[in-house]
Amino acid sequence: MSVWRRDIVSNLRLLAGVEGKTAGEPPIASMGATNPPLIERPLFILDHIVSDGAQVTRPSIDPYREPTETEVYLLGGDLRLTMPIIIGGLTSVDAKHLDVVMLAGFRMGVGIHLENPPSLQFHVDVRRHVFLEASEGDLQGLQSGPVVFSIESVEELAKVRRAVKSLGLDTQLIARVPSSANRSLYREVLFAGFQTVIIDEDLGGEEPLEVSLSEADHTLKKLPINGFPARYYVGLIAASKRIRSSSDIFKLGGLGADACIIRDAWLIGVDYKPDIPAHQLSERIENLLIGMQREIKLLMGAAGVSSFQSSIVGNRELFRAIDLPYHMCERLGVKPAGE
Amino acid sequence: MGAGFARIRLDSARGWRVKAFAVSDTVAYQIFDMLEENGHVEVLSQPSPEYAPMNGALTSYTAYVDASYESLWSAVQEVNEVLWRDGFKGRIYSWGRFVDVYKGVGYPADVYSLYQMENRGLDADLWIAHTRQPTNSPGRLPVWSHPFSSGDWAIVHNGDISSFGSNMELLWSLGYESFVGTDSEVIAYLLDYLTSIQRLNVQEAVRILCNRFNRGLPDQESIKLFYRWRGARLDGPFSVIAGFCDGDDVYMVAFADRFKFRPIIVGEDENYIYAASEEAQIRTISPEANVWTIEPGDYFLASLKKGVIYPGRTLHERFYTLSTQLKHPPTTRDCIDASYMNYRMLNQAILERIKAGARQVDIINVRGQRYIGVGLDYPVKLRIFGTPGNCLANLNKSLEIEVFGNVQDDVGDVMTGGRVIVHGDARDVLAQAFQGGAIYVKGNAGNRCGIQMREYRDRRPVLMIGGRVDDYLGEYMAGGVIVVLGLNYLDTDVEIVGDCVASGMVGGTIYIRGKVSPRKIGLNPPRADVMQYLRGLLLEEMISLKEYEAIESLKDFSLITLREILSPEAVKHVSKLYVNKYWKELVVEYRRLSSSDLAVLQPHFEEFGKIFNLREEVNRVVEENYFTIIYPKPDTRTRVEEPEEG
Amino acid sequence: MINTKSTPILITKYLPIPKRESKEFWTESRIQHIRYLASTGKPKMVWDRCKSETSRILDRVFFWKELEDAGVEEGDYEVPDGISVSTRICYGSIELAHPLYLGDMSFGALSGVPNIAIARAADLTGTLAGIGEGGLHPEVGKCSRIAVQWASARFGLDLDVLRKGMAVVIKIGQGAKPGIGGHLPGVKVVEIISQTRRIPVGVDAISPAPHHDIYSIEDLEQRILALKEATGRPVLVKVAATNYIPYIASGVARMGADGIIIDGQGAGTGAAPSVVRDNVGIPIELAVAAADEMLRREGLRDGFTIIAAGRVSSAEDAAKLTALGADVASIGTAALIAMGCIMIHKCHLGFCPAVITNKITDNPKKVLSLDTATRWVVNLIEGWSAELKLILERLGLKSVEELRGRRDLLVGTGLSDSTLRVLGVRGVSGKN
Repeated sequence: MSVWRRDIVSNLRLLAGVEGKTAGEPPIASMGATNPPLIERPLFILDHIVSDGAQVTRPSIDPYREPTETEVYLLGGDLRLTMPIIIGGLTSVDAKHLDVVMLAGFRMGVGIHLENPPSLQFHVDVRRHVFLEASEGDLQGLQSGPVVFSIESVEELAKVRRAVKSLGLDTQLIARVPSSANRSLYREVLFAGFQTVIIDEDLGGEEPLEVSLSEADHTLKKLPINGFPARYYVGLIAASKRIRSSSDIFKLGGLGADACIIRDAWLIGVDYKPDIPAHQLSERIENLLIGMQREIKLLMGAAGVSSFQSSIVGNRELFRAIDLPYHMCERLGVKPAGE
Repeated sequence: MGAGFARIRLDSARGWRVKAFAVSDTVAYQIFDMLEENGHVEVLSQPSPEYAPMNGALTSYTAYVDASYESLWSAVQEVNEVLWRDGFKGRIYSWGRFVDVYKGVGYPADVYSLYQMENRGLDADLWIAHTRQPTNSPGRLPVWSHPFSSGDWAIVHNGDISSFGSNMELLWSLGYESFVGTDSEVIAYLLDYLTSIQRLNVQEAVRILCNRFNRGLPDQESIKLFYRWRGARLDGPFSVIAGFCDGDDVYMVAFADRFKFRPIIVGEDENYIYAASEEAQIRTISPEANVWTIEPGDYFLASLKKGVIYPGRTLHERFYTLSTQLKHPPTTRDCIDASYMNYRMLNQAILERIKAGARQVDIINVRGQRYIGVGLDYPVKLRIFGTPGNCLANLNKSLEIEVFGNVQDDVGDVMTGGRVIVHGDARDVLAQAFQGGAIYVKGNAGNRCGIQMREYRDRRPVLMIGGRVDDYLGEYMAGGVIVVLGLNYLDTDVEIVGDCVASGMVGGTIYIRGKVSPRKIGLNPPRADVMQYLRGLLLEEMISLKEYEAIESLKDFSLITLREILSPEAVKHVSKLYVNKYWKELVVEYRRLSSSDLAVLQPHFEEFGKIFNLREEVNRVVEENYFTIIYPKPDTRTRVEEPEEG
Repeated sequence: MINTKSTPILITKYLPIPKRESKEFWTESRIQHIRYLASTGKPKMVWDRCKSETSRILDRVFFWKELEDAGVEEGDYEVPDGISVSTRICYGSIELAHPLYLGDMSFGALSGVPNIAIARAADLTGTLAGIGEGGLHPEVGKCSRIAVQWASARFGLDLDVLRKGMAVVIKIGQGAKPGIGGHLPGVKVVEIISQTRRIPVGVDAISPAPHHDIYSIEDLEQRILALKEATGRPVLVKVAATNYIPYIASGVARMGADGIIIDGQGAGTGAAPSVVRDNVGIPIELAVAAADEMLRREGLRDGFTIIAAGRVSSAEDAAKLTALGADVASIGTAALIAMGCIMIHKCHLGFCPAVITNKITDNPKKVLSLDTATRWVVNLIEGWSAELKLILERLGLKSVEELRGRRDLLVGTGLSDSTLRVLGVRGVSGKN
């Protein structure tokens, strides 16, 4: 079975308007589901997890007629994203399209993760939405705004810490760490002044993203800063090229992610090719994001939840695991279905 | 089934009154020994049972202790965690200086007699009582009964909190280790934590939990507060009544969720302040109290020393003007006295009168009986004196029901004919799927009035409301006419409707006296999203700075407003945030009523004015006032390919 | 009935089953088996041979007996004598000749003839058909073994309609889209739809996601009692299988309902957002086991009916769900397949090649033959019951009621410890 199952790719492309005539609208299906774990054995832990449907004691919410809040705040409340999505994977994009992607992302109010920042100056507004990757050497002349450091170990952190001193005060520090169970790293990262942690499965690490994310969330909740759990000061972001859909984002939210960096998902969704016309690319990104936001709203509404950040993020109680062993349920903090 | 009471009394405290359930005296002694082992708690008295222990069942014990709040808090956590782990032998369920909780399994009367409360000579500045059907917990043990208490807070809750998991995670990360596993207990812990440890004032703490929707532009300070306390915000349906004493004053709080899915009502008379989930409960104690409802997502706050601090509604004193000073007409001699009747007996009694040939049946002392008139398909008149319970006139075809008093939720559901006249207020979900006949309400109505009203062939329902309404007026409305007059808010700047008016409306017409803010009509995207998008268009020079600033300076805007300011090209782009495949464009007019409007409405205005003795007011409004008139634009569907059925 | 201006073509034969482009629960062999039952009314197999092709949890649960029985093949089986499959539901007030409920497919989701065929088949076989939420089709209204549905939009309902059936179903949720409402665009609201739903032609028909008068268990009680007060009929509550299903089931039982219809994840639908269909809700086997367990623990199980819905594809599925605690199995998709559905997942587009879920017009070009469709469904029920009797015979049981709650007869293979515990069955490794 491939990561990019036919139905997943088709769903993204329907949202983006590459296929069909209902761009931006959550695709409709009929008759029974055909996805794992119902038909075939799941590939990922995410495929074992299902969300709640509200009924009887908890009315569901109709996101087309009633407000459902998908916005999330990051960077201590300074950055508002309209939905829990950050566009990444821009290394795969032709240089001439960077601006198009960033402006489309900015308009839609999502974040943009730039791993190999070109030496371009951003408009000050756009800069606030750009998570700019920096290595310790090239901090000179960096515009203030969110800056990302990839940190794989405590030793690396020391070097980064020196580099960080040269940055302006209004720079917001983000640590990007591998998908591992390195609890002491989170602690060190926070004490070094970072206020956001990205757990990035594509940086490697010995644990699946679901597990390391959930454990990071719980570790930060049990780590006090000034007598208050660190998790509520800091943002937690999940990243992987195998985050495929709004439902993956929704479930990762449940395991503790305030937002997710999507890579291949949007590239596949908009059917990115280097020769795609700029206006078409822009249009498709907008459609895809609007569509994913609507899908997230549908899942929220179905669960009887009206606020993503306060009621979905870390709310493991809303989710159930289908046919996962107990030891895995415990690590995730998710109950088995039916229990 | 569970029930319980809390009393809060501002007096010189004898230390902390700690109450625990235990399976035996031995366990009770162990519990208090464990408290003392903590090192910072001194037990001042022997634990004494509050009622004769029953075989094998949990018994409540009380003892007094001396400790700081923090020491006692952490000792209680430890003890409860140990008790929970060791198989369920007991639990500390209340510890406060001013709060005293009595709870158990059974009906309220059972708990009352179990604790022999009659003989205790208890008095209080604030009483809270509760009874429940267990939903998310089995409810076999008294620990699952309400009130839930933490420190000097006691709360009762009605609902099912969907943010429960997130709230638990916050509490767990703060060191709360032991839970009985209901969503209700977290409310007590959160309120106590925010006020006692974080030292927020009661109002701030309650605001965080209420989690009201942002209506308009949020200020930066609120954003930070709500961000930091995101784990304490509540979602899903709830109404909560809480009491708190800080040693200086006793506070009474009542609050409801942002959608106001659960009912809550507050009231005041010369001597007391009340809060309850049904009006019938307040009326039982105080037939003459002024009562009003809280706005969705808002809260009510009163204190012993200050009286009503925050009423939970703008100009609440105007709210009940239409429903007070009600002069009851004389009743017929052979009226039904509903004092000791349940709904079945009552409907049976009505049926007997009808079968005996009565054309009018008077019912007095109605206090919360539900389903009155359901299943009675006769062209007769019922006059109800008192407060009928939910589901009045459901499936009504031919009855005329006149209520001298307020009505509760879900009146006129699937009503296809006949008439309902309410001389007071109506509450939530009035006239759901109402499809024929007329409903007149002299006073106000609550949330989701006229939801999915519809018409069919010669049937065209008319809903006329003299006062104001809350959110979602005419949601999914598919036919018929709704009129909201707001006679009690004449000459004020209070809008007489809440948010999301006509959201999902596909047919029919809504008339609202006065101007309705554009953002209140339909469901609009968050202002911040729209401004973000426009900022993007500005950077790409698709709109001008002047246009951007013109929109930014508006207090309130909708897609209609944007069309007036922006180029068609820019509108096409920004429409994406507003329009989806289910979206149906609404026509919004602001004008005097036309002769064609009056052709439909005039007979109803006349009836309404005559019945409620409001002729002069209605005439003046019809002649002098502008109305906001809302109806769906014909054939504006963007896409039609998919039926959605199941 | 259908208003025919020109005579439409009558469909009386099955279409060929197309090749699959992606994985499917309703595999070709499942469809073929149902077609066999529907064509002959006779049994074909004892143990469900199709389950090895898919990996539902229920597909990995076996009767011990089957593992011992290796070698039992498809063939011409005699229906065993002396085994009873009849049962009583709703505190005994409704007798079913077969333990089957024909599940809640509305006029609107289906195009008319299939609705009538199902209702008639229920009358002919002594089962019960839920009419769904589209109002009462006049021909369906002539049948007696129907359950009238009270759903959030209350389409076409009044006292008379509610009193037409043997029972009232309060529809709270459905397995394919828990927490999601429905929306039929105005252009689809043609004359016949307008009549049954009692809304004007051309006006959108919206079903809100929740009932706006039911926000709590007490509210549900209020609605159950109000409907009992108005109709004098037993009331069933239909819910989706979700996280809190054991508590919901016990709440529904406490609130005076006569039974619960639990609809599992992956159940059929006329239209649902894919994202919800694929990610919300739990499988029926877990839900039934958990609900039955809770009801027993709370002393609420006796006299209360559990109807299990969602991917019930064979008599063995129904038997296993019964052993896990259900009283009656609900068939929806299987009935559609019996009437010719080829599972191309295009109901929402209105172009059903088998004319089962095609767009309703006042003047259709093709219609399903009502007689044929009725016969197919009747045969399906009879063939199904015959296979159920064969299973009962193998298990050494005399009636379907003896099977209820017999988890000890089951075994799970390749299932996680948590799943086995919820199901309450022993696990073995191996057969998978």
